[in-house]
Amino acid sequence: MHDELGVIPHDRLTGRQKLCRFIRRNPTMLAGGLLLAVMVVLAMCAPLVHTVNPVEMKPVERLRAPGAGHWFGTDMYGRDSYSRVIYGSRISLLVGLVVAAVTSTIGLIIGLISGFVRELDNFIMRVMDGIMALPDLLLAISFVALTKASVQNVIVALIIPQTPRVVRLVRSIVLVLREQPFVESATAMGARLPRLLVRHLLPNTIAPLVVQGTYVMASAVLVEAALSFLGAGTPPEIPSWGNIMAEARSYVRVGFWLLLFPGMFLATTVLSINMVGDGLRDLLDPRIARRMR
Amino acid sequence: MKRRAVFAMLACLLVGMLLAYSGRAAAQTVRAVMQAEVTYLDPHWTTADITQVHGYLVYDTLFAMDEHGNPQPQMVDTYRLSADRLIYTFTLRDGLKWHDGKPVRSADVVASLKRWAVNDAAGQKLMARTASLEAVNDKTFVLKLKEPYGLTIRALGKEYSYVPFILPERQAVQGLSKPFEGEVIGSGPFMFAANEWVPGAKSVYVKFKDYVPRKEPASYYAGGKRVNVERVEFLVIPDQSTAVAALDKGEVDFLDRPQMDQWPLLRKNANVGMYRADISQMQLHPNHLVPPFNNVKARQALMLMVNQQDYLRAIIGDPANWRTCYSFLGCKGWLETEAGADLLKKQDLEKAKQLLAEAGYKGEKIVVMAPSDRPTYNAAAMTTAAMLRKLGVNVDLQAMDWGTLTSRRPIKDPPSKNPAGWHIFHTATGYAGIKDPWGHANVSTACDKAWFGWPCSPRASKALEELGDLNPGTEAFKKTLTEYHTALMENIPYVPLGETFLYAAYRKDRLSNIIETPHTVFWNLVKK
Amino acid sequence: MLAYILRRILATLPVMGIVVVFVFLLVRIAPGDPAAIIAGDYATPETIQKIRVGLGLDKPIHIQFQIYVMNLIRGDLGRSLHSQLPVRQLIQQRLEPTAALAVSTLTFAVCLAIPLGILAAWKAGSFIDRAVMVFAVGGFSIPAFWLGFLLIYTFSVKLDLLPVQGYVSFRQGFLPFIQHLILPTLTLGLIYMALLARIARASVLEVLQSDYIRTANAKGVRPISVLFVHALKNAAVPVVTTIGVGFALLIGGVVITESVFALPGLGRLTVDAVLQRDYSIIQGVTLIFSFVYALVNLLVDLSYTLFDPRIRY
Repeated sequence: MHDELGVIPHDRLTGRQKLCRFIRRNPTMLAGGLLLAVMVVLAMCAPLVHTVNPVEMKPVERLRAPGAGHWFGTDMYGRDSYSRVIYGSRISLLVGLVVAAVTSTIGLIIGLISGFVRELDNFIMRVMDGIMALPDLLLAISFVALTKASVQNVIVALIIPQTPRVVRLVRSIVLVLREQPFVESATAMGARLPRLLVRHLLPNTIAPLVVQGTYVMASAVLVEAALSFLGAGTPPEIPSWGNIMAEARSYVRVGFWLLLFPGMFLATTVLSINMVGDGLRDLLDPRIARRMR
Repeated sequence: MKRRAVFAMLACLLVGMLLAYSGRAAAQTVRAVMQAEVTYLDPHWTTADITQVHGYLVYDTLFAMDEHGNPQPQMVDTYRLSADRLIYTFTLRDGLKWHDGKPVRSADVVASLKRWAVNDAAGQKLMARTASLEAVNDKTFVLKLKEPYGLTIRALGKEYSYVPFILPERQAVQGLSKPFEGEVIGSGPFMFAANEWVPGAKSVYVKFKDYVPRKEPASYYAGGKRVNVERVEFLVIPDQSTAVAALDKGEVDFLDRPQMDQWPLLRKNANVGMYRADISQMQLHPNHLVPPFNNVKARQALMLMVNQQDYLRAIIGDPANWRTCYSFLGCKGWLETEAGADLLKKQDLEKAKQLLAEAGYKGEKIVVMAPSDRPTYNAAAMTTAAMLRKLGVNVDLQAMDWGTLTSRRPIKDPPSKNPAGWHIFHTATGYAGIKDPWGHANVSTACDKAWFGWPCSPRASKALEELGDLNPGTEAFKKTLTEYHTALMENIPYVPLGETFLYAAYRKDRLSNIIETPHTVFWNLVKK
Repeated sequence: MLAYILRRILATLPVMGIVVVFVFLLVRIAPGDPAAIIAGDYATPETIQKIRVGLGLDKPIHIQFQIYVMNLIRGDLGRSLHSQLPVRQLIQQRLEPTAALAVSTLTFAVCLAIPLGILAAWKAGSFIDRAVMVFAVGGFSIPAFWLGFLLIYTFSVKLDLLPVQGYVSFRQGFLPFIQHLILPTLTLGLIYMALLARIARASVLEVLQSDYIRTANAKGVRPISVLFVHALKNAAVPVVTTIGVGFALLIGGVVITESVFALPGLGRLTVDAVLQRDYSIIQGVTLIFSFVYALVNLLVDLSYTLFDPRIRY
């Protein structure tokens, strides 16, 4: 039953044994996935899980330490910190997911075009270089501060700097693939451009794209928090971990719990996303994935 | 042998560098964290408070307010008023010098006053009544009025934006579309160290050794400005908790305006002293040009909606740090009156709803601008939004930074026509402004020449003008004051939300004899 | 080689051109009026208009752009709208703290991350490896400002070991210079270190599995020699690439760290300029940053030739 190295081949395992082996081989990915799932469930069930209306101000109860009734304490306006953190997860996760999804889609399209259509390649890459030349945080701050503070604008502000990286990734894969024999033979057989792109190139880009997508999501969640911290992020009446911490920054010594909990939630969420990303990368195809970095 | 010698030298050099450290600031340097950074250096060009603070350090004024609220001569030695009350003759005192050594002359004074009066409300009123303002000789200048003006000296001693600082003539003759060109040369007790200025990070002021202070003791902004320290450094620490920690550890000596939630922490520290630096009147400004607030009933609804205690508790919290005040002109002091304030004292949400409906409100979006980087105004905006919602109003609470708010304020169009339009914003004014309705832009009822919100009440404007010519304490004064305030209460240029106290904090064990003015002045104080 | 460098420098010009136009238009089209901010809270609309004219902001956009480009060609970055100081002077004033922070962070991160990564790769699968990986992933997930506040609270406030804020130039004393830089460097460096350690580990791991390493081991070469002479050189390329790519991250982190620790650097200058709508500073700093970033990328690419003789330009 065992092969030369003492390992049981995959197709000879039972379902349960396959699962156990999967868990043993990918502990980080599963741990990360589990954590992330918990966060997502909490976020989605916020209306059920929170205790107090997160935007209700009760100045009489301001800056109470964590205790009964207010598990994470209250902030400078008397709002319940626990409920705000729970609701804040919605914004942070939403921003992360949308930015990752949109960036991946736009990046994929532009990257495919750039890699395959040589005439446009130079121009597209110069524009991407231009965008990448600007430090992302500054670009995002400028965009949000110069338009209006809203979740949509934050999302757009985060998409702009992240897209060039996805484009570069997709393009590098396409550049390699288009020299491959199977592409040549497909072209020789008369396959037209769209068919080539979709049927032959697309499947090879999905895996690294998904992995990169997780990194983009992690980065988006962090940068959104940083933006709010600097005052150019989500408007303050919509709680997000970033602006909860931004408001809490002056209260480090008067109420450090205001900074502690959202920070912990943020770090945990980003950590879990990164762990899932790492695990996926190791799982899907080590060679292509390594080229990404 | 050679290698070892080289090593030894390098080691000595390293040790020497490490030892060359003197961590403590020179004993005669005061390090202060002010409420804003010194960016604009021309006090006639910007109303920024920090520029006025800068101005008090490097410039001097003809008159200055003392602790009783009366203007006292500062650069002026003596002055005479002619019998017909039309001609003022001023003589400058001896020893006034510019920082570059040249003496101060009347020509400098005349040019500076003319420049100041271009933008300043009090200055404009003075110049409108002026027939001529001329230098007679280097020490004497004459102001000829067209009609008697009781507020002349008060205007020349104005203590808040724009303060009539005296600049050298060559800068005072420059226009006001840009700040003046050339170095900062003043005749005040400190010199501005331009080579050490890092805008946004640090500004430095050095004692002007040739300054001749008046003989009287210092009193508020008036009296003898004796400087007992060598240097004053303004440091910018953007983060409040870092600033408080720096004060705790002695890395700075003075915090100009610590944020209010830091006050309990500051009070706990035995080495830190706090004093009340200013009283600030919070204000809710509706847009008088835009429905429904173009109808006075809607504004009355706002007044009935407001309960000052609720607002102040939401904005500040601890009642020790605020007080209610049902007057546009501040409570206590020479303009004390509550004439016509019944609506403000009451709260009646049902009646407010009714009045709104009568004013024609049909459920359209009411835009309330909320500056997220100004915590107190933000808290006020959020409270207003919550209260309006209780009245069944469809509130659009828009968050923005203060920069965006100031750029949207001038827009007169309704939000339905212009997405940058607005209905309500909040702000505050310090006590110096409140006590000077002639100069206080926010309370102006001059219709399209008024401040943002554009209140219009010819009756109030007329009463204010008459009040300016009367002597305080007389029957006529009291009567006109009542008439003015009643007119204000009927027009409701804005809704006064009560008064909050603003504190400054300092190291008790290092600084003493601080003069407790809203614009902190660094003369008179002593550092151990 | 020289031709390659020249070509690269020329290639950055159109990119910077795009950046210049983009930023110039963005700041002007957007809402927010520097003239209103300058005039202050109590100024009248007439005063604001006067200031706007004085700053040249009332001219049509293409005229403003013309003036700007003319000045740029002469090396004049313009004057700050608020303080009227030349942008070049402002940048020069603020350069030192940012450069000090960037250099110390890079040094700290590289000196610690690479050995850690090598160690983890060498002992792949062991407890040390897992520990390093947990640290790497965890460190990269922590928000910089949160870490900064935690460090201030612990080391400055509670333990009173280090100053809370501020920057002291090394010209004014080496010891206070270091003291003021320790916490900011730790804040930014830990995050950067996490990223680098991960990449270092991954690329060294890949190299260690290749044939020539097996040959070297079989030949009896000492493990240390194997690691540092053979493996590291070959693993260097991705690591150096990451240092370059991480540079953009560094700039973002610098902005936050300067804000938390009150360091008067370029990051804060830019954030303040954006919030105050100081167009000249925003344009000037963006230009400088793009140029430096392009330079860093060029240096990274050139350094490949040191590590991998097969790469030639």
